Amino acid sequence: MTSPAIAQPEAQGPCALALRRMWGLALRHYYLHAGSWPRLIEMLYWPIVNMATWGFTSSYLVKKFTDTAFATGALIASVILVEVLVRVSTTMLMLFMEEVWSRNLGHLFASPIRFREFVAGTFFTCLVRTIIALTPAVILAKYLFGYSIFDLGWNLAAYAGLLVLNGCWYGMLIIALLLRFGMAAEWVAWMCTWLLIPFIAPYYPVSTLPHALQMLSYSLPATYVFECVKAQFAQVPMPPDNLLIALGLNVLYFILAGVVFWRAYQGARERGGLLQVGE
Amino acid sequence: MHEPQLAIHTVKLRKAFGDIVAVDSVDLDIKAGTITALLGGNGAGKSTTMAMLLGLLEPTSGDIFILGRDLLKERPKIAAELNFSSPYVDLPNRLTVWQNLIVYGNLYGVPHLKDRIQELSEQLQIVNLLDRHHGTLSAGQRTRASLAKSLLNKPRLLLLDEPTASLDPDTADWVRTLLMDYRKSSGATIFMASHNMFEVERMCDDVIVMKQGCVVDRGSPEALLKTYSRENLEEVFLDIARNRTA
Repeated sequence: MTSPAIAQPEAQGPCALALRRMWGLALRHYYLHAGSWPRLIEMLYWPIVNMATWGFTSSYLVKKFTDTAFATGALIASVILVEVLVRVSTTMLMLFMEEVWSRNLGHLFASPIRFREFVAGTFFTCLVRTIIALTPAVILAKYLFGYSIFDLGWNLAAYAGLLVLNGCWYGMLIIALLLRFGMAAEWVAWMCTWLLIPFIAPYYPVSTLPHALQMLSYSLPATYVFECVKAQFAQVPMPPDNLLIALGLNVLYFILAGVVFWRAYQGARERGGLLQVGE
Repeated sequence: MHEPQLAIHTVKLRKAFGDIVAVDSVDLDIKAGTITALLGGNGAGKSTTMAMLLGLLEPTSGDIFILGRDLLKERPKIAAELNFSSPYVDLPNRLTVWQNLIVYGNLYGVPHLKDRIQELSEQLQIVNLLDRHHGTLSAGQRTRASLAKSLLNKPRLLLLDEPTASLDPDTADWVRTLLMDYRKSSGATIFMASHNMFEVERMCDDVIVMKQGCVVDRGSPEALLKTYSRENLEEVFLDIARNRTA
Protein backbone atom coordinates (compact mmCIF):
# COMPACT_ATOMS: atom_id res chain seq x y z
CA MET A 1 0.00 0.00 0.00
CA THR A 2 2.07 2.81 -1.30
CA SER A 3 -0.19 5.79 -1.00
CA PRO A 4 -0.63 7.13 2.51
CA ALA A 5 -2.96 9.91 1.38
CA ILE A 6 -6.56 9.17 2.13
CA ALA A 7 -8.85 9.67 -0.84
CA GLN A 8 -11.31 12.51 -0.43
CA PRO A 9 -14.25 11.70 -2.69
CA GLU A 10 -15.93 14.97 -1.64
CA ALA A 11 -13.56 16.73 -4.02
CA GLN A 12 -15.72 15.37 -6.87
CA GLY A 13 -18.79 17.27 -5.69
CA PRO A 14 -21.91 15.81 -4.09
CA CYS A 15 -24.01 15.75 -7.27
CA ALA A 16 -21.29 14.06 -9.31
CA LEU A 17 -20.81 11.50 -6.53
CA ALA A 18 -24.54 10.81 -6.32
CA LEU A 19 -24.62 10.24 -10.08
CA ARG A 20 -21.60 7.95 -9.83
CA ARG A 21 -23.29 5.88 -7.14
CA MET A 22 -26.45 5.53 -9.23
CA TRP A 23 -24.30 4.72 -12.25
CA GLY A 24 -22.47 2.09 -10.19
CA LEU A 25 -25.78 0.47 -9.32
CA ALA A 26 -26.86 0.52 -12.97
CA LEU A 27 -23.50 -0.94 -14.06
CA ARG A 28 -23.91 -3.80 -11.62
CA HIS A 29 -27.10 -4.86 -13.43
CA TYR A 30 -25.70 -4.15 -16.89
CA TYR A 31 -22.76 -6.49 -16.21
CA LEU A 32 -25.12 -9.09 -14.81
CA HIS A 33 -27.40 -9.07 -17.84
CA ALA A 34 -24.69 -8.66 -20.46
CA GLY A 35 -22.97 -11.78 -19.16
CA SER A 36 -26.08 -13.92 -18.86
CA TRP A 37 -28.02 -15.07 -21.97
CA PRO A 38 -30.79 -16.70 -19.89
CA ARG A 39 -31.48 -13.29 -18.30
CA LEU A 40 -31.53 -11.64 -21.73
CA ILE A 41 -33.96 -14.22 -23.07
CA GLU A 42 -36.22 -13.89 -20.03
CA MET A 43 -36.19 -10.11 -20.41
CA LEU A 44 -37.48 -10.30 -24.02
CA TYR A 45 -39.61 -13.42 -23.71
CA TRP A 46 -42.78 -12.36 -21.88
CA PRO A 47 -43.58 -9.19 -23.82
CA ILE A 48 -43.21 -11.08 -27.11
CA VAL A 49 -45.23 -14.10 -25.97
CA ASN A 50 -48.05 -11.98 -24.55
CA MET A 51 -48.19 -9.72 -27.58
CA ALA A 52 -48.19 -12.66 -30.02
CA THR A 53 -50.79 -14.67 -28.06
CA TRP A 54 -53.25 -11.81 -27.77
CA GLY A 55 -52.52 -10.55 -31.26
CA PHE A 56 -53.30 -13.89 -32.93
CA THR A 57 -56.36 -14.41 -30.72
CA SER A 58 -57.61 -10.99 -31.65
CA SER A 59 -56.96 -11.55 -35.37
CA TYR A 60 -58.96 -14.75 -35.27
CA LEU A 61 -61.90 -13.18 -33.42
CA VAL A 62 -61.98 -10.21 -35.75
CA LYS A 63 -62.09 -12.46 -38.83
CA LYS A 64 -64.72 -14.70 -37.30
CA PHE A 65 -67.14 -12.28 -35.71
CA THR A 66 -66.64 -8.77 -36.97
CA ASP A 67 -65.03 -6.71 -39.63
CA THR A 68 -63.99 -3.86 -37.34
CA ALA A 69 -60.31 -3.70 -38.11
CA PHE A 70 -59.37 -1.57 -35.16
CA ALA A 71 -59.99 -4.39 -32.65
CA THR A 72 -56.65 -6.11 -33.22
CA GLY A 73 -54.77 -2.85 -32.92
CA ALA A 74 -56.63 -1.95 -29.73
CA LEU A 75 -55.82 -5.24 -28.13
CA ILE A 76 -52.17 -5.18 -29.15
CA ALA A 77 -51.76 -1.62 -27.94
CA SER A 78 -53.31 -2.61 -24.61
CA VAL A 79 -51.08 -5.67 -24.32
CA ILE A 80 -47.96 -3.60 -24.93
CA LEU A 81 -49.06 -0.91 -22.48
CA VAL A 82 -49.91 -3.54 -19.85
CA GLU A 83 -46.39 -4.86 -20.39
CA VAL A 84 -45.02 -1.38 -19.61
CA LEU A 85 -46.74 -1.46 -16.23
CA VAL A 86 -45.87 -5.08 -15.46
CA ARG A 87 -42.27 -4.93 -16.72
CA VAL A 88 -41.47 -1.88 -14.58
CA SER A 89 -42.78 -3.39 -11.34
CA THR A 90 -41.43 -6.87 -12.14
CA THR A 91 -38.02 -5.46 -13.02
CA MET A 92 -37.87 -3.49 -9.78
CA LEU A 93 -38.61 -6.68 -7.89
CA MET A 94 -36.10 -8.65 -9.95
CA LEU A 95 -33.29 -6.14 -9.46
CA PHE A 96 -33.85 -6.28 -5.72
CA MET A 97 -34.00 -10.07 -5.76
CA GLU A 98 -30.68 -10.21 -7.61
CA GLU A 99 -29.11 -8.44 -4.62
CA VAL A 100 -30.80 -10.84 -2.22
CA TRP A 101 -29.82 -13.95 -4.19
CA SER A 102 -26.21 -12.83 -4.38
CA ARG A 103 -26.21 -11.92 -0.65
CA ASN A 104 -24.98 -8.50 -1.68
CA LEU A 105 -27.29 -6.28 0.39
CA GLY A 106 -24.69 -5.94 3.15
CA HIS A 107 -22.01 -4.60 0.81
CA LEU A 108 -24.52 -2.41 -0.99
CA PHE A 109 -26.08 -0.72 2.03
CA ALA A 110 -22.76 -0.38 3.87
CA SER A 111 -21.53 1.69 0.92
CA PRO A 112 -22.17 5.45 0.79
CA ILE A 113 -25.23 5.02 -1.43
CA ARG A 114 -28.21 6.90 -0.04
CA PHE A 115 -31.69 5.45 0.07
CA ARG A 116 -32.99 7.93 -2.52
CA GLU A 117 -30.04 7.13 -4.80
CA PHE A 118 -30.80 3.44 -4.48
CA VAL A 119 -34.42 4.11 -5.52
CA ALA A 120 -33.38 6.42 -8.38
CA GLY A 121 -30.62 4.07 -9.62
CA THR A 122 -32.98 1.10 -9.51
CA PHE A 123 -35.68 3.10 -11.32
CA PHE A 124 -33.25 4.21 -14.05
CA THR A 125 -32.02 0.64 -14.60
CA CYS A 126 -35.58 -0.57 -14.61
CA LEU A 127 -36.61 1.98 -17.22
CA VAL A 128 -33.75 1.04 -19.55
CA ARG A 129 -34.47 -2.66 -19.09
CA THR A 130 -38.17 -2.12 -19.84
CA ILE A 131 -37.44 -0.20 -23.05
CA ILE A 132 -35.07 -2.94 -24.23
CA ALA A 133 -37.56 -5.65 -23.27
CA LEU A 134 -40.45 -4.06 -25.17
CA THR A 135 -38.62 -3.04 -28.34
CA PRO A 136 -38.74 -6.48 -30.06
CA ALA A 137 -42.42 -6.89 -29.17
CA VAL A 138 -43.21 -3.49 -30.69
CA ILE A 139 -41.30 -4.34 -33.88
CA LEU A 140 -42.90 -7.79 -34.13
CA ALA A 141 -46.38 -6.29 -33.68
CA LYS A 142 -45.79 -4.21 -36.80
CA TYR A 143 -44.39 -7.19 -38.70
CA LEU A 144 -47.00 -9.77 -37.65
CA PHE A 145 -50.16 -7.68 -37.38
CA GLY A 146 -49.35 -4.49 -39.24
CA TYR A 147 -49.96 -2.46 -36.11
CA SER A 148 -47.54 0.15 -34.80
CA ILE A 149 -47.89 1.34 -31.23
CA PHE A 150 -46.64 4.71 -32.47
CA ASP A 151 -49.98 5.15 -34.25
CA LEU A 152 -51.19 6.35 -30.86
CA GLY A 153 -49.25 9.52 -31.59
CA TRP A 154 -48.06 11.82 -28.84
CA ASN A 155 -50.60 10.31 -26.48
CA LEU A 156 -48.31 7.29 -26.32
CA ALA A 157 -45.73 9.31 -24.39
CA ALA A 158 -48.32 10.30 -21.79
CA TYR A 159 -49.72 6.76 -21.51
CA ALA A 160 -46.27 5.19 -21.18
CA GLY A 161 -45.04 7.82 -18.71
CA LEU A 162 -48.06 7.37 -16.46
CA LEU A 163 -47.80 3.58 -16.57
CA VAL A 164 -44.08 3.71 -15.79
CA LEU A 165 -44.85 5.85 -12.73
CA ASN A 166 -47.61 3.43 -11.73
CA GLY A 167 -45.24 0.47 -12.10
CA CYS A 168 -42.56 2.25 -10.12
CA TRP A 169 -44.60 2.98 -6.99
CA TYR A 170 -46.16 -0.45 -7.19
CA GLY A 171 -42.71 -2.02 -7.46
CA MET A 172 -41.60 -0.10 -4.37
CA LEU A 173 -44.56 -1.52 -2.45
CA ILE A 174 -43.65 -5.05 -3.53
CA ILE A 175 -40.03 -4.60 -2.40
CA ALA A 176 -41.29 -3.14 0.88
CA LEU A 177 -43.28 -6.34 1.33
CA LEU A 178 -40.08 -8.37 0.98
CA LEU A 179 -38.14 -6.10 3.33
CA ARG A 180 -40.91 -6.46 5.91
CA PHE A 181 -41.58 -10.19 5.67
CA GLY A 182 -38.34 -11.49 4.19
CA MET A 183 -38.05 -14.29 1.67
CA ALA A 184 -41.12 -16.00 3.10
CA ALA A 185 -43.05 -13.49 1.00
CA GLU A 186 -41.12 -14.08 -2.23
CA TRP A 187 -43.86 -15.97 -4.07
CA VAL A 188 -46.48 -13.50 -2.91
CA ALA A 189 -44.25 -10.74 -4.28
CA TRP A 190 -44.04 -12.39 -7.72
CA MET A 191 -47.80 -12.91 -7.73
CA CYS A 192 -48.33 -9.26 -6.84
CA THR A 193 -46.69 -8.13 -10.07
CA TRP A 194 -49.83 -9.23 -12.00
CA LEU A 195 -52.35 -8.49 -9.27
CA LEU A 196 -53.45 -5.09 -10.58
CA ILE A 197 -54.17 -6.20 -14.15
CA PRO A 198 -57.79 -7.43 -13.78
CA PHE A 199 -58.73 -4.26 -11.92
CA ILE A 200 -57.30 -1.72 -14.35
CA ALA A 201 -59.57 -3.09 -17.13
CA PRO A 202 -57.08 -2.94 -19.98
CA TYR A 203 -59.04 -5.14 -22.39
CA TYR A 204 -62.66 -4.43 -21.39
CA PRO A 205 -64.73 -1.52 -20.09
CA VAL A 206 -64.55 -0.79 -16.36
CA SER A 207 -68.35 -1.28 -16.30
CA THR A 208 -67.71 -5.00 -16.88
CA LEU A 209 -66.41 -5.26 -13.33
CA PRO A 210 -68.77 -5.72 -10.36
CA HIS A 211 -69.70 -2.42 -8.73
CA ALA A 212 -67.39 -2.82 -5.71
CA LEU A 213 -64.45 -3.61 -7.97
CA GLN A 214 -65.23 -0.61 -10.15
CA MET A 215 -64.52 1.60 -7.14
CA LEU A 216 -61.20 -0.14 -6.68
CA SER A 217 -60.53 0.18 -10.40
CA TYR A 218 -61.09 3.94 -10.36
CA SER A 219 -58.63 4.30 -7.49
CA LEU A 220 -55.83 3.06 -9.78
CA PRO A 221 -54.03 5.47 -12.14
CA ALA A 222 -53.60 2.87 -14.89
CA THR A 223 -57.39 2.51 -15.21
CA TYR A 224 -57.65 6.11 -16.44
CA VAL A 225 -54.89 5.52 -18.96
CA PHE A 226 -56.65 2.49 -20.43
CA GLU A 227 -59.96 4.36 -20.52
CA CYS A 228 -58.19 6.88 -22.74
CA VAL A 229 -56.66 4.16 -24.92
CA LYS A 230 -60.06 2.54 -25.43
CA ALA A 231 -61.66 5.90 -26.22
CA GLN A 232 -58.92 6.68 -28.74
CA PHE A 233 -59.48 3.41 -30.58
CA ALA A 234 -63.27 3.81 -30.47
CA GLN A 235 -62.73 7.29 -31.91
CA VAL A 236 -64.89 8.87 -29.24
CA PRO A 237 -63.80 11.88 -27.16
CA MET A 238 -61.39 10.96 -24.38
CA PRO A 239 -62.84 11.22 -20.90
CA PRO A 240 -61.94 14.75 -19.78
CA ASP A 241 -59.16 15.10 -17.21
CA ASN A 242 -58.46 11.38 -17.18
CA LEU A 243 -54.75 11.79 -17.68
CA LEU A 244 -54.59 14.52 -15.05
CA ILE A 245 -56.42 12.28 -12.56
CA ALA A 246 -53.96 9.48 -13.37
CA LEU A 247 -51.04 11.84 -12.80
CA GLY A 248 -52.48 13.11 -9.51
CA LEU A 249 -53.10 9.59 -8.23
CA ASN A 250 -49.62 8.52 -9.33
CA VAL A 251 -48.00 11.39 -7.46
CA LEU A 252 -50.05 10.65 -4.33
CA TYR A 253 -49.29 6.92 -4.43
CA PHE A 254 -45.64 7.55 -5.27
CA ILE A 255 -45.27 9.60 -2.09
CA LEU A 256 -47.17 7.06 0.00
CA ALA A 257 -45.20 4.14 -1.48
CA GLY A 258 -41.96 6.04 -0.83
CA VAL A 259 -42.91 6.41 2.84
CA VAL A 260 -43.88 2.72 3.09
CA PHE A 261 -40.62 1.68 1.36
CA TRP A 262 -38.54 3.91 3.65
CA ARG A 263 -40.25 2.54 6.76
CA ALA A 264 -39.76 -1.04 5.54
CA TYR A 265 -36.07 -0.29 4.92
CA GLN A 266 -35.69 1.25 8.37
CA GLY A 267 -37.54 -1.73 9.88
CA ALA A 268 -35.13 -4.09 8.11
CA ARG A 269 -32.20 -2.13 9.55
CA GLU A 270 -33.71 -2.49 13.03
CA ARG A 271 -34.30 -6.23 12.67
CA GLY A 272 -31.03 -6.99 10.88
CA GLY A 273 -33.00 -7.82 7.75
CA LEU A 274 -30.43 -6.26 5.40
CA LEU A 275 -28.03 -9.02 6.37
CA GLN A 276 -30.53 -11.84 6.72
CA VAL A 277 -33.20 -11.19 4.11
CA GLY A 278 -31.69 -13.94 1.95
CA GLU A 279 -32.18 -16.57 4.62
CA MET B 1 -18.52 14.46 23.84
CA HIS B 2 -16.35 12.56 21.37
CA GLU B 3 -12.68 12.93 20.61
CA PRO B 4 -11.45 13.14 17.03
CA GLN B 5 -8.47 10.92 17.82
CA LEU B 6 -10.90 8.09 18.35
CA ALA B 7 -11.79 6.16 15.21
CA ILE B 8 -14.66 4.42 16.96
CA HIS B 9 -16.46 5.68 20.02
CA THR B 10 -19.64 4.07 21.27
CA VAL B 11 -21.67 5.06 24.29
CA LYS B 12 -23.86 2.49 26.01
CA LEU B 13 -24.49 0.68 22.74
CA ARG B 14 -27.35 -1.77 23.04
CA LYS B 15 -29.16 -4.05 20.64
CA ALA B 16 -32.10 -6.21 21.56
CA PHE B 17 -34.13 -8.49 19.30
CA GLY B 18 -37.35 -8.79 21.27
CA ASP B 19 -36.41 -10.27 24.63
CA ILE B 20 -32.96 -11.31 23.47
CA VAL B 21 -30.24 -8.79 24.22
CA ALA B 22 -27.44 -9.31 21.70
CA VAL B 23 -25.30 -6.33 22.75
CA ASP B 24 -25.66 -4.66 26.10
CA SER B 25 -24.27 -1.29 27.13
CA VAL B 26 -21.03 -1.53 25.16
CA ASP B 27 -18.61 1.40 25.38
CA LEU B 28 -15.83 1.28 22.81
CA ASP B 29 -12.93 3.71 22.47
CA ILE B 30 -10.79 2.68 19.53
CA LYS B 31 -7.82 4.95 18.96
CA ALA B 32 -7.17 6.12 15.43
CA GLY B 33 -4.30 4.32 13.71
CA THR B 34 -4.48 1.18 15.81
CA ILE B 35 -5.38 -2.41 15.05
CA THR B 36 -7.93 -3.70 17.53
CA ALA B 37 -9.41 -7.17 17.76
CA LEU B 38 -12.87 -8.01 18.95
CA LEU B 39 -12.86 -11.45 20.52
CA GLY B 40 -15.64 -13.60 21.84
CA GLY B 41 -17.30 -16.97 21.45
CA ASN B 42 -20.24 -17.65 19.19
CA GLY B 43 -23.17 -15.45 20.17
CA ALA B 44 -20.99 -13.04 22.13
CA GLY B 45 -22.27 -10.09 20.09
CA LYS B 46 -19.29 -9.46 17.80
CA SER B 47 -21.16 -9.65 14.50
CA THR B 48 -24.03 -7.57 15.88
CA THR B 49 -21.56 -4.93 17.03
CA MET B 50 -19.85 -4.94 13.63
CA ALA B 51 -23.18 -4.63 11.80
CA MET B 52 -24.08 -1.62 13.96
CA LEU B 53 -20.72 0.03 13.27
CA LEU B 54 -21.36 -0.43 9.53
CA GLY B 55 -24.80 1.15 9.80
CA LEU B 56 -26.47 -2.07 8.64
CA LEU B 57 -28.19 -2.54 11.97
CA GLU B 58 -29.94 0.14 13.97
CA PRO B 59 -29.01 0.12 17.69
CA THR B 60 -31.86 -0.17 20.17
CA SER B 61 -30.15 2.57 22.16
CA GLY B 62 -26.78 4.25 22.56
CA ASP B 63 -24.59 6.37 20.33
CA ILE B 64 -21.97 5.54 17.71
CA PHE B 65 -19.30 8.00 16.60
CA ILE B 66 -17.09 6.98 13.70
CA LEU B 67 -14.08 9.18 12.90
CA GLY B 68 -15.62 11.88 15.08
CA ARG B 69 -19.02 11.86 13.37
CA ASP B 70 -22.37 10.62 14.56
CA LEU B 71 -23.06 7.47 12.52
CA LEU B 72 -26.79 7.57 13.03
CA LYS B 73 -26.98 11.08 11.56
CA GLU B 74 -24.22 11.08 8.93
CA ARG B 75 -24.01 7.48 7.70
CA PRO B 76 -23.47 8.13 3.96
CA LYS B 77 -20.61 10.59 4.60
CA ILE B 78 -18.97 8.23 7.07
CA ALA B 79 -19.49 5.23 4.80
CA ALA B 80 -17.27 6.87 2.17
CA GLU B 81 -14.37 6.73 4.63
CA LEU B 82 -14.76 3.22 5.88
CA ASN B 83 -15.05 -0.18 4.29
CA PHE B 84 -15.34 -3.78 5.31
CA SER B 85 -14.72 -7.34 4.34
CA SER B 86 -16.44 -10.43 5.62
CA PRO B 87 -16.49 -14.02 4.42
CA TYR B 88 -20.20 -14.04 5.30
CA VAL B 89 -21.20 -11.19 2.97
CA ASP B 90 -20.57 -12.09 -0.66
CA LEU B 91 -19.77 -9.99 -3.65
CA PRO B 92 -22.02 -10.79 -6.63
CA ASN B 93 -20.90 -14.20 -7.89
CA ARG B 94 -21.91 -13.64 -11.51
CA LEU B 95 -19.78 -10.55 -11.94
CA THR B 96 -16.08 -10.78 -12.66
CA VAL B 97 -13.63 -9.46 -10.09
CA TRP B 98 -12.94 -6.47 -12.35
CA GLN B 99 -16.66 -5.72 -12.73
CA ASN B 100 -17.23 -5.93 -8.98
CA LEU B 101 -14.37 -3.53 -8.36
CA ILE B 102 -15.70 -1.11 -11.00
CA VAL B 103 -19.18 -1.23 -9.45
CA TYR B 104 -17.96 -0.68 -5.90
CA GLY B 105 -15.42 1.89 -7.00
CA ASN B 106 -18.30 3.93 -8.39
CA LEU B 107 -20.41 3.38 -5.28
CA TYR B 108 -17.53 4.67 -3.15
CA GLY B 109 -16.67 7.50 -5.55
CA VAL B 110 -13.08 6.34 -5.96
CA PRO B 111 -11.07 8.81 -8.06
CA HIS B 112 -8.92 7.43 -10.92
CA LEU B 113 -10.69 4.15 -10.46
CA LYS B 114 -8.99 2.06 -13.13
CA ASP B 115 -5.55 3.07 -11.87
CA ARG B 116 -6.60 2.23 -8.32
CA ILE B 117 -7.86 -1.20 -9.37
CA GLN B 118 -4.64 -1.85 -11.24
CA GLU B 119 -2.59 -0.83 -8.19
CA LEU B 120 -4.61 -3.01 -5.82
CA SER B 121 -4.63 -5.95 -8.21
CA GLU B 122 -0.87 -5.97 -8.24
CA GLN B 123 -0.58 -5.57 -4.47
CA LEU B 124 -3.12 -8.32 -3.79
CA GLN B 125 -1.83 -10.49 -6.63
CA ILE B 126 -5.20 -10.81 -8.31
CA VAL B 127 -4.24 -9.48 -11.75
CA ASN B 128 -4.83 -12.92 -13.28
CA LEU B 129 -8.20 -13.18 -11.51
CA LEU B 130 -9.71 -9.93 -12.77
CA ASP B 131 -11.58 -11.62 -15.65
CA ARG B 132 -12.82 -14.51 -13.52
CA HIS B 133 -16.34 -14.58 -12.12
CA HIS B 134 -16.34 -14.13 -8.35
CA GLY B 135 -18.34 -17.34 -7.97
CA THR B 136 -15.60 -19.39 -9.62
CA LEU B 137 -12.87 -18.30 -7.19
CA SER B 138 -11.44 -20.45 -4.42
CA ALA B 139 -11.93 -19.35 -0.81
CA GLY B 140 -8.50 -17.76 -0.69
CA GLN B 141 -9.00 -15.96 -3.99
CA ARG B 142 -12.40 -14.69 -2.82
CA THR B 143 -10.82 -13.33 0.33
CA ARG B 144 -8.25 -11.42 -1.72
CA ALA B 145 -10.93 -10.09 -4.10
CA SER B 146 -13.03 -9.03 -1.15
CA LEU B 147 -10.02 -7.34 0.44
CA ALA B 148 -9.42 -5.47 -2.82
CA LYS B 149 -13.00 -4.18 -2.64
CA SER B 150 -12.49 -3.19 0.99
CA LEU B 151 -9.33 -1.21 0.19
CA LEU B 152 -10.64 0.48 -2.97
CA ASN B 153 -11.47 3.78 -1.28
CA LYS B 154 -8.34 3.77 0.93
CA PRO B 155 -10.56 3.61 4.02
CA ARG B 156 -9.60 5.46 7.18
CA LEU B 157 -11.42 2.75 9.09
CA LEU B 158 -11.36 -0.85 7.93
CA LEU B 159 -13.74 -3.33 9.55
CA LEU B 160 -12.82 -6.96 9.04
CA ASP B 161 -14.73 -10.04 10.03
CA GLU B 162 -12.36 -13.00 10.31
CA PRO B 163 -10.00 -11.70 7.60
CA THR B 164 -8.05 -14.94 7.28
CA ALA B 165 -10.85 -17.46 7.71
CA SER B 166 -10.48 -20.41 5.32
CA LEU B 167 -7.02 -19.33 4.16
CA ASP B 168 -4.03 -21.62 4.19
CA PRO B 169 -1.26 -20.57 6.62
CA ASP B 170 0.93 -19.09 3.89
CA THR B 171 -1.84 -16.96 2.36
CA ALA B 172 -3.11 -15.99 5.81
CA ASP B 173 0.35 -14.77 6.79
CA TRP B 174 0.61 -12.83 3.54
CA VAL B 175 -2.77 -11.15 4.19
CA ARG B 176 -1.76 -10.20 7.74
CA THR B 177 1.43 -8.60 6.47
CA LEU B 178 -0.50 -6.72 3.83
CA LEU B 179 -2.99 -5.38 6.38
CA MET B 180 -0.26 -4.29 8.76
CA ASP B 181 1.53 -2.56 5.89
CA TYR B 182 -1.68 -0.79 4.97
CA ARG B 183 -2.13 0.44 8.52
CA LYS B 184 1.48 1.58 8.66
CA SER B 185 1.45 3.42 5.34
CA SER B 186 -2.00 4.98 5.56
CA GLY B 187 -2.42 5.53 9.28
CA ALA B 188 -5.80 3.84 8.99
CA THR B 189 -7.56 2.11 11.86
CA ILE B 190 -8.35 -1.58 11.60
CA PHE B 191 -11.05 -3.13 13.75
CA MET B 192 -11.39 -6.87 13.32
CA ALA B 193 -13.29 -9.79 14.69
CA SER B 194 -11.24 -12.94 14.78
CA HIS B 195 -11.11 -16.39 16.28
CA ASN B 196 -7.45 -16.78 15.42
CA MET B 197 -5.54 -15.94 18.59
CA PHE B 198 -2.15 -16.18 16.92
CA GLU B 199 -3.30 -13.58 14.42
CA VAL B 200 -4.56 -11.30 17.18
CA GLU B 201 -1.31 -11.53 19.11
CA ARG B 202 0.71 -10.78 16.03
CA MET B 203 -1.32 -7.94 14.58
CA CYS B 204 -3.23 -6.14 17.28
CA ASP B 205 -2.40 -3.24 19.57
CA ASP B 206 -5.54 -3.79 21.62
CA VAL B 207 -7.98 -6.56 22.31
CA ILE B 208 -11.60 -6.31 23.41
CA VAL B 209 -13.26 -9.44 24.73
CA MET B 210 -17.02 -9.83 24.59
CA LYS B 211 -19.22 -12.35 26.27
CA GLN B 212 -23.01 -12.57 26.25
CA GLY B 213 -23.29 -9.15 24.65
CA CYS B 214 -21.03 -7.35 27.13
CA VAL B 215 -17.39 -6.27 27.09
CA VAL B 216 -15.76 -8.36 29.81
CA ASP B 217 -12.12 -7.38 29.37
CA ARG B 218 -9.84 -5.23 27.26
CA GLY B 219 -6.21 -4.29 26.95
CA SER B 220 -3.13 -4.93 24.88
CA PRO B 221 -2.31 -8.61 24.20
CA GLU B 222 0.66 -8.30 26.55
CA ALA B 223 -1.45 -6.78 29.32
CA LEU B 224 -4.07 -9.51 29.04
CA LEU B 225 -1.41 -12.23 29.15
CA LYS B 226 -0.01 -10.63 32.27
CA THR B 227 -3.40 -10.18 33.91
CA TYR B 228 -4.36 -13.82 33.36
CA SER B 229 -0.82 -15.10 33.89
CA ARG B 230 -0.99 -17.03 30.64
CA GLU B 231 1.42 -17.86 27.86
CA ASN B 232 -0.90 -17.05 24.96
CA LEU B 233 -4.21 -15.42 24.13
CA GLU B 234 -5.88 -18.75 23.44
CA GLU B 235 -5.55 -19.63 27.11
CA VAL B 236 -6.78 -16.18 28.09
CA PHE B 237 -9.78 -16.62 25.81
CA LEU B 238 -10.58 -20.00 27.39
CA ASP B 239 -10.23 -18.55 30.90
CA ILE B 240 -12.78 -15.88 30.06
CA ALA B 241 -15.10 -18.23 28.19
CA ARG B 242 -15.08 -20.70 31.08
CA ASN B 243 -15.45 -18.07 33.79
CA ARG B 244 -12.01 -18.63 35.28
CA THR B 245 -11.08 -15.40 37.01
CA ALA B 246 -7.91 -13.45 36.28
